[in-house]
Amino acid sequence: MSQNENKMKKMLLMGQHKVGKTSMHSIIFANTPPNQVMQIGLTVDVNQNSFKFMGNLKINLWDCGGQDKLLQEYFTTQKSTIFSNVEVLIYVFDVDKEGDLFIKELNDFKTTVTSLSECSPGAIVFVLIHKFDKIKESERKIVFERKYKEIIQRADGLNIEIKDVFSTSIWDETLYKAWSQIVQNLIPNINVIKESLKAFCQTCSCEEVVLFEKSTFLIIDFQETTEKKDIQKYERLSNIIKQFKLTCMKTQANIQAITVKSEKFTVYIDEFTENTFIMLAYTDPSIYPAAISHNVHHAQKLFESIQGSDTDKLKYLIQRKP
Amino acid sequence: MNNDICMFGLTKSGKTSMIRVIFQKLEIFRTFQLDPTNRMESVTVNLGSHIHFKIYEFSGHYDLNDSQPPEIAAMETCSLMIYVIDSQAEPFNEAVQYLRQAIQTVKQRSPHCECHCFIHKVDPDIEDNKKNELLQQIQKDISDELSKNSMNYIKVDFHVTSIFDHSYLEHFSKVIQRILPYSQSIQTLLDSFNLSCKIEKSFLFEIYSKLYLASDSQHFHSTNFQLCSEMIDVFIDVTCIYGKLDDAGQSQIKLSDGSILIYQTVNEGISLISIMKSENLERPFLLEYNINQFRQGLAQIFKIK
Ligand SMILES: Nc1nc2c(ncn2[C@@H]2O[C@H](COP(=O)(O)OP(=O)(O)OP(=O)(O)O)[C@@H](O)[C@H]2O)c(=O)[nH]1
Ligand SMILES: Nc1nc2c(ncn2[C@@H]2O[C@H](COP(=O)(O)OP(=O)(O)O)[C@@H](O)[C@H]2O)c(=O)[nH]1
Ligand SMILES: [Mg+2]
Repeated sequence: MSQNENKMKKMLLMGQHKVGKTSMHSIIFANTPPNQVMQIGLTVDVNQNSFKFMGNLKINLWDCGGQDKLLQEYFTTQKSTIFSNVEVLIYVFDVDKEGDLFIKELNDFKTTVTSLSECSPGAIVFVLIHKFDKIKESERKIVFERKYKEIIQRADGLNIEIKDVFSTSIWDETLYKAWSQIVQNLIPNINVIKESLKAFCQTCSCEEVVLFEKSTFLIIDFQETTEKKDIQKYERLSNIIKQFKLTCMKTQANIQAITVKSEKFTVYIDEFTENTFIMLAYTDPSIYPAAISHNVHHAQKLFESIQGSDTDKLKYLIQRKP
Repeated sequence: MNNDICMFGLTKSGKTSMIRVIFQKLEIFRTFQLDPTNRMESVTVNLGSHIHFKIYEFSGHYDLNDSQPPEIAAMETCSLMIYVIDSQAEPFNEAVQYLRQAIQTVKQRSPHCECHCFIHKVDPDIEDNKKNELLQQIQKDISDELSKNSMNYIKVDFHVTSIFDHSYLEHFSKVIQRILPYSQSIQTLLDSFNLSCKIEKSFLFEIYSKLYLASDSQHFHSTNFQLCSEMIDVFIDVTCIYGKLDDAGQSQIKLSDGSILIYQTVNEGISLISIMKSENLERPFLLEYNINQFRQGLAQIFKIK
């Protein structure tokens, strides 16, 4: 295992006061139900939280309180503390802010990314335009595109990369979509995982296989044998299962396995490796559940070894598959 | 048939929120954006293919002193009234007086109408001490108001609810079961189903509203109810992603505490959800056989009706 894979990754979460930073990471990482985030107090300083993800990825999340006074400190006296050694910045905008308020957000964003490019050149940036539930569905696309252009411009010519811009809301699956993609960018071995999952999907003759991280239910990867266009599907599943998991936790229990069947399909979700759940979906009625379970069990060992980073052995195993 | 429900309560007490969330699938966070109800609104409720009734929501400004209002006809068909009182809006004088007036008005038009009071907005984050204090206060105020008007012979059932947990579904279900003539017969059927399959608890749900129409005679645990009603969301959402709702729909969720939730579609819109120890799920075909027995029994009950 290389040094690089095992070290803490510093992730900054920034944006103005009340944009929803603390709400988001509490829902994703600390299992807070969305309707309880109204009780979250304002963040009065920088709150550091560490998460272990998929076993060997350690994230050190800096939730930077967004009051103006604090922002000014981040840009001046605390600049090197905040902006050094950053791997990822997640910058949050409030979609509801327009006019001068939006300009103010853009200016703060520009100062933030400029400081970042000076102290951590090469860091990657994700932008979330949050609280999209407040915008009428018919207007979402236009609002997004307008704001997207403005935001992107502010990072022009800087030595950092804006990886992606997402519209999000804690009230639907868009939150899972954004955060799934953010963590996918950080997982060591993600390519090996993808390849293995693809091979597995073919062996199982399933139409779809999805790998979820166990505690957050974020999507690590998915593979489908037939290309389908419903891109939010897995994020919706993350959201649903996570909601159910929260209810289970009230009874001190956890989900072990879920099956849902009807005449036309079977969906099977099960604990997989130490840090993941796997989901298989198939429509072929001649497939036996027992055969699926056998395949899953078999693949478990293979995948455990990826997480142990036994990469070479794994590549060998994958290549041997027909 | 006199099986309708009327709902009263001061403005902003939470009537529309409950109706919209249960019957029109409004998302809970959107209830913050609801406009006040200014005139009586009626909602037609169809649960499965056998249960139909109306809910009349009266505006919080509805004048109960008017002796000949056009809404009298609606009141006459009601066999139940739900009065919603906002537990977070102290003092309660006005709400309590309005309750008394509502009871008087409705009883005059429909003498056998049952009175149910929802002590609402008792949210999960309120401390137990505070909660108990509030409940006692409200119940005392109501009973004082009723006796002051020589109405203490009237029975009022209390229900503690909040839209932020499952209490509103639980109590709305319990109230609606009062107008279903066959909840008892279904209970007997469920008891025998449970016995044959070593099941601990079963609920018969209408899945779109997530109201339960009947349950067995075992003790009611609200966490069980919560798990079962949330399982409906999982089932519906997954089904809608991969196919469509049909009569063959079923689901199982295995939990780490050794229990397993079993979801079986009974017929259109009606599903049976049971909790059992997974070690008791030895023979799936036994379950299949018994669920068929249950379906037939249920069909009988609905036919008699
Ligand atoms: N409508 C809507 N409200 C949201 C959403 N996410 C968060 N909120 C609300 O926004 C408010 C502020 O959220 P916080 O998470 O405390 O904001 P913050 O960015 O951490 O603020 P500071 O700590 O002061 O920097 C809360 O009342 C949340 O309920 C969303 O997606 N939609
Ligand atoms: N805290 C809390 N607020 C609630 C609850 N139920 C409804 N509300 C809020 O109360 C307000 C008024 O609700 P509404 O249904 O319009 O009241 P109505 O005038 O009685 O129909 C809305 O902002 C709801 O979001 C609850 O259980 N707890
Ligand atoms: Mg905060």
